[in-house]
Amino acid sequence: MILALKDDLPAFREAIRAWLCDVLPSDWKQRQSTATSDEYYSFQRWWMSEKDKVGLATPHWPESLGGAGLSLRHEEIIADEFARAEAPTAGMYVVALNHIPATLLAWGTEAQRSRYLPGIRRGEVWCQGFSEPNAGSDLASLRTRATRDGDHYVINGQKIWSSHSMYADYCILLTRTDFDAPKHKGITYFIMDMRSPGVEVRSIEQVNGRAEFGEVFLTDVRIPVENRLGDENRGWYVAQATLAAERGVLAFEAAERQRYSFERTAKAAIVSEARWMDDAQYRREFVQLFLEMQAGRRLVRDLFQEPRGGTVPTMTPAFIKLSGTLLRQRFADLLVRIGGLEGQAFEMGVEDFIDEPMFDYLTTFGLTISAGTSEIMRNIIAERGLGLPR
Amino acid sequence: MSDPAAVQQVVVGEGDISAEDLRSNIAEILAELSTRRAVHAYLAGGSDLAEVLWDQAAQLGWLSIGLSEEIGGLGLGASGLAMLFSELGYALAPGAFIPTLVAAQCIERHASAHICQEYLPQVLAGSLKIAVSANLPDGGEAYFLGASGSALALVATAETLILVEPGDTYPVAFWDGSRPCHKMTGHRQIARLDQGDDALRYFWQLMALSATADSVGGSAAVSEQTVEYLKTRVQFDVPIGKFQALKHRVADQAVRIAVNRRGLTQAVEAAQRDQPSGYMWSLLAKASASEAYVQIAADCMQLSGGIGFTQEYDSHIFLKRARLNEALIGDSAILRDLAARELFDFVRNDQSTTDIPL
Repeated sequence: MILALKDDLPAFREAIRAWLCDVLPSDWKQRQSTATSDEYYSFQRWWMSEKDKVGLATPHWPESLGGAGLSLRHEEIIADEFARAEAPTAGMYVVALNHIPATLLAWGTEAQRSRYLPGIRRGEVWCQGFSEPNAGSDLASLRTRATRDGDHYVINGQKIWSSHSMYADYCILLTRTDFDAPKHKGITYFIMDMRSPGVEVRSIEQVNGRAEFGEVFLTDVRIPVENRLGDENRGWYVAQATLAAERGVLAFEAAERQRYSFERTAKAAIVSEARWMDDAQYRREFVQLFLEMQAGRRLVRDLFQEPRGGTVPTMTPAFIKLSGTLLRQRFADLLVRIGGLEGQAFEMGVEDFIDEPMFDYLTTFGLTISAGTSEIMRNIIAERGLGLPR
Repeated sequence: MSDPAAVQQVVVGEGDISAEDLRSNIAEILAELSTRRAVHAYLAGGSDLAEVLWDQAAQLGWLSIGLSEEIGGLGLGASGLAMLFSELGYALAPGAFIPTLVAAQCIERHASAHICQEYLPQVLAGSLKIAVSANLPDGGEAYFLGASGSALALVATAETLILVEPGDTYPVAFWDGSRPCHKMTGHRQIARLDQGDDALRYFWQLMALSATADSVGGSAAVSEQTVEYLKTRVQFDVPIGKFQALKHRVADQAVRIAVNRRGLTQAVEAAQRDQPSGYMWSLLAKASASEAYVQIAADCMQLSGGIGFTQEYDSHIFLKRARLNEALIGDSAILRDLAARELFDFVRNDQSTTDIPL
């Protein structure tokens, strides 16, 4: 019924808003913040199935891949309404919903697309096996070994920072197949079934008390040749398609959630007649960040205006990543200071923007590291954007 | 100023030029006339660059960019002013563009048809320069932006906005020698632009928006110039731009400029749509962009080494303009306090200020 209204944007928006109000328990955040990891996993599966019932599980996918084939406008409306309602984020489905279709569209065979994409709507979880203990910012130096053995490859090595790998059904895996070639030219990309013998996952507890990512140990894991994406030793180029998925609607939704977080903070301050509004320092910092929040939303919108796959790479995605994550951190930092001792009381959060200042603050230190550290983003801006020598 | 993301297609007049075409046209002409050499010569007292630019601006219709088409303007409003002032800021152009065009915009919006008839054609023709109040009345000295001896001035008191014939004026030598400023004693009132504070708010909103545009343009120019310097200056046998400690500083400048450019867009769109939050957004954008301009210009002076400390190099011109921009209207603290009051009022009344139409 929501999708049937797609030609009437205001009605489409109204329908999503009504559905969210109807389906989402108002206290889901409070309940999930004290949930175990397993309970939270079940909750996310439930949310995915609810979205699927109304056609919103994969609204942004092309119809040829089983999506709703909605336009960017629709995506913006959906993201905005989800943000406004403080609905759960894509959470453990981020990779499945964004990175997998982006990669399979560019590099997958027809067989691979029809084999893997339909399962995502049914709630299959994907994780990313890219980083290694000794290959972080220098990802291309990865050393997990893949050796051809008949119609299989045999994998040995270790991956780390694989979000939700404990619950993952599949993993997109970068391995080294040629140890003699220059480092970017000896990498091969696979789809790995996480139930394969030899795969062992250990979760890693984070500074914010949650344990969303894991270490993945791989011992003589056998992957069939047909699970290779792209040619042998061309995996680095396949990975570029995966990483490009971090642009776009994901950034849009984060920026919109940021907006509502600011508005909730301002509203709460008014309602409770918070003392910080009378403090010149806090008040001035708040309005400065408020401006940067709004500017950041416009920066994301400008990204949508840029031609896709244009020949001249722009700096906009790097600007968004760097400024967006630092803004989150500075805002959380301000709220922690405003919170005083009361704000130090231990309150667990779930996901982002829970409005628990210390939890949010600690969470942001993951954001300025993952998907390209702030320092790597500065290198990218300086070298690829400004043309400074490497 | 090459930022394709900021492009906005607007049809201008009958020629159907896009706003972007107009912008690049302005940029090209300024690059030719307002060269760094010419700006240095002007500041040293050896050129009439300000007058040359003013005459060009009149001939090419730049002075009409914000006014409505009914009276012979291009009808681009605040967005036209922002575009022009960004480019003038980028080129370090001297002159009284901001005061004259902000005043003209206020006159068109708030003065009687008779007053408009009397003065706006002169503005379009380039034969009238108008001075305006440069700082919020706070009990201290009142300054005016624009040439001493201007025939007309727009005076903002605490209560009202009045159009006057200035009495005696005294030029003030500020460190930034590119935008004339003065003090005034006495005046003859010509017209009171309104009785409430709407005209006053609109005046300060446009002033803030204009200072934001100048700051965004200027900070982009000084940062780009510094990036080029880092590519060519060799020390320890390498271009110093190879050093990560320096790379990261200019990368941070680029991000900050990109963000403040969108702060300007927010202020411009709110003004174009006549949103009540436009005043707040302009003040916030000005506080942020002028502060960034100061810090970027100062950082660039340091990054330019010894040459950056010399009169013959450009760093100081940017830094001095940035400092004047920062002090214009009121300092960042005052502007943020005014904006915070606005914001909390909107929130109290359940009015969102952050809607961006799809």
